[in-house]
Amino acid sequence: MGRRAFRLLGCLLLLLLVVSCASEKRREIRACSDLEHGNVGVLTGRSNDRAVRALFPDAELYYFEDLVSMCMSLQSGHIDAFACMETGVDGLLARNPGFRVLEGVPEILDTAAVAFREDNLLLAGQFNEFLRGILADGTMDAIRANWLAADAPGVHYHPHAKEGTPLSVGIEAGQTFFTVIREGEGAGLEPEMMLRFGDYLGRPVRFVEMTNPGMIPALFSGKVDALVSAIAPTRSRAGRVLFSTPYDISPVCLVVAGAAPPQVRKSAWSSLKENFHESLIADNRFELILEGLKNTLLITFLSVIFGFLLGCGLCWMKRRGPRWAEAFSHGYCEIVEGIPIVVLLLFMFYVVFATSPLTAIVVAVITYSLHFAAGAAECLERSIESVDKGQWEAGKALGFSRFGTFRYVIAPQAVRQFLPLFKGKAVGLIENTSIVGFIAIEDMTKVTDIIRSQTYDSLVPLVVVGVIYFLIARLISVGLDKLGDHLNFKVK
Amino acid sequence: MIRISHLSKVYPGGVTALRDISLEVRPGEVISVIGPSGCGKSTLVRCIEGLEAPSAGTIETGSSRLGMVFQQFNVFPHLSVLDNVTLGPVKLRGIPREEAEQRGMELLRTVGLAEKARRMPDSLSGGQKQRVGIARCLSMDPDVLLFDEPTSALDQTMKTEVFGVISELAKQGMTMVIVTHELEFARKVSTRVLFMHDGEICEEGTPEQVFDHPQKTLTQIFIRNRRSLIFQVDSREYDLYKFNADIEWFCQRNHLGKKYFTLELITEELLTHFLPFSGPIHFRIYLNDEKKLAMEIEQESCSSPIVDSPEADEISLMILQGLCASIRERQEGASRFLDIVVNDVYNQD
Repeated sequence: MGRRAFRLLGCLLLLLLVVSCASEKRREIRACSDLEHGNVGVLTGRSNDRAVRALFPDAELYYFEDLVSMCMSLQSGHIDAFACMETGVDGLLARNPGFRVLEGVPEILDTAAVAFREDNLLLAGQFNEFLRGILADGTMDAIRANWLAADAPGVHYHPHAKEGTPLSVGIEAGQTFFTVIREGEGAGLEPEMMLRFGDYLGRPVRFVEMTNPGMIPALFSGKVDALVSAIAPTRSRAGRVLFSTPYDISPVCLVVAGAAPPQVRKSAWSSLKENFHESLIADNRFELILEGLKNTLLITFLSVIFGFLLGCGLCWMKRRGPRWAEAFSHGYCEIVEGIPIVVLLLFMFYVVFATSPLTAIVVAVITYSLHFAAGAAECLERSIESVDKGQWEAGKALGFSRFGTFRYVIAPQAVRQFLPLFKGKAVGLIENTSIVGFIAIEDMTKVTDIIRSQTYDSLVPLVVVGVIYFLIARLISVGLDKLGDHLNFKVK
Repeated sequence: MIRISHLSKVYPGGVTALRDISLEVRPGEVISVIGPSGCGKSTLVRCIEGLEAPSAGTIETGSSRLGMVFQQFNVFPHLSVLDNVTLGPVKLRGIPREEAEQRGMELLRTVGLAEKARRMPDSLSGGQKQRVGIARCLSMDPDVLLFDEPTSALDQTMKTEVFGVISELAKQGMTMVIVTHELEFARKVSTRVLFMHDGEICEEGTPEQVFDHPQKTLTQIFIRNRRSLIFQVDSREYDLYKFNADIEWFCQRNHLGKKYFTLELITEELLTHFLPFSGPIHFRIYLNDEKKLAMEIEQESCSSPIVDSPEADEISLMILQGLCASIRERQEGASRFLDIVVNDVYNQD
């Protein structure tokens, strides 16, 4: 009873902490001078950090991976302002009633261009040709109006080209104003522009969603033909990739949070309800979460199974294999356990399987299986060694083969030690799968990012997904406990 | 049944456990292997069982089946007592479970554990576990049973339980090779005794030959030392508790019951009131030729009488004389010797 009460108390405390952290506290910024020692957010991979640096040499810069997190941080007062391109800022202001653009900022231009592989001169040339065309005939203005104005209709563009080699384009949903994800499809200025470019070439376009750290390696390794994510063509990057002419040039502006208008201040409960609806029900976003859950479960369970089988092999090599196999197994486990899983994942996807036709999910399963194998081997070895050596001798003396002894004498005893160890490793694996978004898999965590980018609300999707992760972990751990009870000695 | 010729065993570390051993075990024989610790006697049975690979030589077992009983019992803790004795028959010989359980119950009855059939081994005493170990061996119908110090991990009552079972098997004509430290038991149960020393069979023969008329000096020393307690006292700060514990253990091993009490009184009286501590003192407690408990005490660097000394305390002398049947003193070189035979009156339990 007491334990249950404490557990409940712990959950309540945690919830309180979350709610109190989500409450707002911010400093009013009225003029540029207020920001001189302020905290300014910028997006990684754009050039506006240099603009901010030039304007406010003493300001503290905070680098964000996506626009949503940056908006959230401004909302909560962690930063005083953030920098972004003026293009599309109207749409952002419309969605965040408290935000406004800081007046009187000296004009510094920021540009966005498409990145191609260095040797892909042909494609870059074709794009520049196409871009010149749409800038001249007003198509670009129409696209802009469709997506970026305060009351933009956001009509999907339906491409004509269906046949031919697909053009794969790396995008980052929610990173900028230019790309959002709606109903599972890329939407926004950049996707529409690229779809039209596809039509211009007569090739269908395949969007590959990725996160910033993985983009450039993906381009190098040929996973994608082009990257569009409001990338600024800086000189240091130009040495490694080929940039198109800019499709957008606009001044850098600074967004600050004013006092929220009174009509926006609803009761916490009704705003939570609204956020809940927005995050899960509207546009059938729960389907996205279910899709993410499917991928998370698929990767987790396949990796546990294959990893366990591989682990058995490694353990056998350690215990019974020839010298070289033993050495290999030891070395393998040490190396794999010593490398952060995210590094291993990126290495597998962008180096080892860079040119293979395997899908990202297959690569993820391979990577997690290889990683999990090391852990499983360690669990197996430790649990087998926990059984007294005399038991092997007793089995042999009775007439069992080595395998028979293992099967009937050692394994039933070792499993008691094995299950708790294995449980920890398996739960760790589920948690580890939350980084597969790095290689463009839409797992639960990645899906949360996408939903956050659409709704500009973090609390509900993060809590929902957090609860789902927790439930899967509990399920595995309770399942293994039950299995353990089932196999336990029937002590009388 | 088993023919061992020129068997040698060298462990990877370079330790030689067995040197050129040849031995034949004939049906119905009960062979006890005795010898000091580390003489290779355990290695010998482990080699016969196949748990250790011989470095040289051959072991022919023909078609006979071997079973082994371990010092640490090695019962299967995850199986009930009955399952311990049915696992082999069911999994290895394909005997139907019911039949195997019937036979298992019979075996448990022969070792006296039928009522514990459904218990888990962890709830049993050491002696009971060892009897389960024996029943488990018997479940595979072995022709030869090998015992590797079956009672070394047990206390006296548990030893007796296990000895009882082994003696019963001997009566039924089971061929056995028993590695043991229990000389009295070996004498009672064996048809042949091997004395091993430093990896070699030093002496072998019937129990009477080996125990009562050993031919080799090494055997004589071993038998004598096993039957005597040697303790050295260097100063008045000696470890009284260790000495008393040794005396009690010696009495227990030789089935002398409560006689340790008399011995403790005598040694304490001597150390407190008589011995001058002029140098190291050597005690040897043993059973003399008439099976009487006797003691030899050597006081180094002493030439004056100890018990007969005029300064001796009269009351202490009376107590000592009451405890001892005879006290004789002699001088050998620089050492003074006391030969004491313990009084039988006090030897009653």
